[in-house]
Amino acid sequence: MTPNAICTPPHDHDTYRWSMVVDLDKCIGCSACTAACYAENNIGVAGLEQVLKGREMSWLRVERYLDSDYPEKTTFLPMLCQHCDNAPCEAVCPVYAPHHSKEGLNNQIYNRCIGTRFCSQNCPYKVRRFNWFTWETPSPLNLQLNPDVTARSKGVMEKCSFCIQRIKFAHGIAKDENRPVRDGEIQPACLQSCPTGALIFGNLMDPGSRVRKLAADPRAYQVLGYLNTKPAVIYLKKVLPEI
Amino acid sequence: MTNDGASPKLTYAQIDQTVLDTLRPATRPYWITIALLFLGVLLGAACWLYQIFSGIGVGGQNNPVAWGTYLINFVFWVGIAHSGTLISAILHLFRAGWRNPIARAAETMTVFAVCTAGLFPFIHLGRVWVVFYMLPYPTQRGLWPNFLSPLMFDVIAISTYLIVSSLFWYTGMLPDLATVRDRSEGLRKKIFTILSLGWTGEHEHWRHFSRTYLFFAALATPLVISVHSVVSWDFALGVVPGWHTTIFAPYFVAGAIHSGLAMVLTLMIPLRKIFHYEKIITLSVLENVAKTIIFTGLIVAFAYSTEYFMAWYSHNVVELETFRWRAVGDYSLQFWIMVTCNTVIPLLFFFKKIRTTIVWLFIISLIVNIGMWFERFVIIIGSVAHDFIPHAWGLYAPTAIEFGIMLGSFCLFFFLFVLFVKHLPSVSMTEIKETAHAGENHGG
Amino acid sequence: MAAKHHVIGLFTDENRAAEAAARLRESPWQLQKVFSPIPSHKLTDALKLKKSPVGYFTLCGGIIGFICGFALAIFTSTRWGMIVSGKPVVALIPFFIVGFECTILFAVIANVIGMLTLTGLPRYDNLRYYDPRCSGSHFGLLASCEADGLEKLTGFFQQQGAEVKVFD
Repeated sequence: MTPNAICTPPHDHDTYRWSMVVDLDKCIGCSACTAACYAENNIGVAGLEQVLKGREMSWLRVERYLDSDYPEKTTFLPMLCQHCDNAPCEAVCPVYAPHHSKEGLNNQIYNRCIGTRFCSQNCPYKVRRFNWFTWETPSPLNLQLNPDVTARSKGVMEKCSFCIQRIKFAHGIAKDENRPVRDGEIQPACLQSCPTGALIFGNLMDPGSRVRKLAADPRAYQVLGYLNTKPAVIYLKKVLPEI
Repeated sequence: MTNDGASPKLTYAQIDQTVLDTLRPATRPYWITIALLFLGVLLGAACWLYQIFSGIGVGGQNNPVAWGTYLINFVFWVGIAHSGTLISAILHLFRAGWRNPIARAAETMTVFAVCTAGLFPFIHLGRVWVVFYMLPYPTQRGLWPNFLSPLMFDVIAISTYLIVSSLFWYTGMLPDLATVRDRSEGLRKKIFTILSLGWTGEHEHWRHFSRTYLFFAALATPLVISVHSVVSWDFALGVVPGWHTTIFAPYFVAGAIHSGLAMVLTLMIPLRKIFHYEKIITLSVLENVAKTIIFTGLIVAFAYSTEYFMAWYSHNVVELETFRWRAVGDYSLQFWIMVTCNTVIPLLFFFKKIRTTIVWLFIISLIVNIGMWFERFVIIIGSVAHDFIPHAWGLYAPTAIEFGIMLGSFCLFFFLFVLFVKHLPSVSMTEIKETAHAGENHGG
Repeated sequence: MAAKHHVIGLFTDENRAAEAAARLRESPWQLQKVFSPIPSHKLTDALKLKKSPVGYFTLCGGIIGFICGFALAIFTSTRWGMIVSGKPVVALIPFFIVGFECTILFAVIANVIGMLTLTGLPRYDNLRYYDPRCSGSHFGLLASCEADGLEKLTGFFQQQGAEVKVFD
């Protein structure tokens, strides 16, 4: 994968093109990112019964791949919305609920969503989460809801937003100080809680940013890259002894 | 024109009498049937209301299978609708005289099947109360729908289809409505006077009517092909393996006609028996439908094998796995039901004895209906349940609420159809007369 | 002004009706209408009717529909101008489908409007000079004459083998 293919999106990006790099060598599969995401983004807690039915609401999941020949070997792959430039979810929505921002984010407008669930069906990464019910937050859990993030009700689709509330916050500060957003200034909740620093977030348009440099790493690849969805999440392959 | 449709021995008066006899005041079993079907509709409506208040989660859909029986039934009913237009429009253009005795009932089937199908996208929506977001109307906020979405194609195609097939059905019925008007008394006469719009069958009426009908047929033909192609693009425009193929449009159109013809047999055989239509809907008409089912069945079989060939030829791991799993995976039972019912069993119609035996015709028509329902199951559920990322694979099973809504939809369709056959002429008297007439001349 | 008489001659045979219609056209009586239970080519030939112009309505409807559908899709997509799935804002291929469906819809509606306009339906006063049997098995020829020609006209119909009915 040449960095060029990753960095040249078909969109006119405005100074920023947010991106995340996931270093699979560093991921230990602790799922702290998932927990942080739940807390930050007011994600509904579906409960055991619903999770068994396949209705877990997590925006970010850690996929575990086991090798039957080496039972002790496990590969972890954190999977979240890939914020694809050619996102398959966007064109199929009849009401533009998912669409692309100038900064390369795949935005989901909850108010606009009518719940056709076509986006979820067409997402090759299956990272979109539908509110099958209005999930309850019994007291005192309601007190821990994040006031910066909308609480969703039944019938709408949701997914990872790259913690857009934090991006907006950083933009605000940068504007006050009359400067561009600095590399590393924005920390999505998952990244903030990652104990090994496996997640790196930044601006792909900035040639000096860490994500841009890591995108040029020979280990860099995009999941299902051959579909030409042009994801903004770049994975660094785990280096295994047998390869 | 051939005269194998209606017996040329029937006089105009006998044709009228046979059809008008079906409009006599209904008996008690009829009203009991109507009441039972209505109860079924109420049950379905109650299930839907419960779902609206609770959330879509009362159904069995989940991640990754977010589309369930609602869309299976949607595609199923749209498919059923198609052969009505095939029979009334396409066969009209081909001047196939055998279509005349069943054209009206098949057209009615189309209208009611589209109505039933049209409900399912609403039932399916997570927030049905904001469904008007999909309408292209100017708002203060300047919000418009996305015409790139296959679902918007659906909105336009299905609503066009409903309007066109209803208008076609009604326009074609005008001369018959006038016949009923002229043969009835009292309130019914008043109603039919209004419904028939003052049709008298004068030469100026026929002159414009015949031409209008021809254009109707000429427009309905590309429409019917486009509508199921659009429905197939709901899937084919996706990236999911098992959906994303160019064969989908013709494959779906053939499948739709396959299921629709089977439904025509399912409806016509009891109709013929109950209303003593044996002389009008002759065995040779049913036989012709059966022969067409062999043809559509073979097209469907070809489509199934093409999908496998393409999966093998592509050397794409995901594609290969999807189609391997289809045949031997969790939904292999449904897959083999689909293959057997749609492609193998209809081949029995090659035997003349079977396609001229009413019981066999009826049984095989039911089997094809079941098979076509499972075809949609295999495509819609089977593809997303097992797509790109192994970690996201999952299974789906419908819940009682979904079965309730499904039962309600079948009851709604039969409720409307049973109401129709007793209150409007279920066979086109005019077209039978034309066929009988042509036969007479042919013989003379 | 002398009162006009309306006479209807009812035939059970299409050929005879066509023959009588052809003769009536050349007679001094006015052939008002020809009723038939089926669209009859023989009657059309006998009356030398031209093809219905309803197709022009249909054609206009279709053209207007295609333009409207295409324009609707283009107009609405440029209102937001949002790129989705990396596709162009004005994507001609998908919009062609919208245009196509609207073509059919508008053409069919124009088709029906054309038929209603040309036939003058719905109207309920034309059942005055009408015989209900004409929607069943009879072909009816409605002719009118001056008060003094009534006998001759009925005589003509009887000669042709028709059952005659005189309206007041």
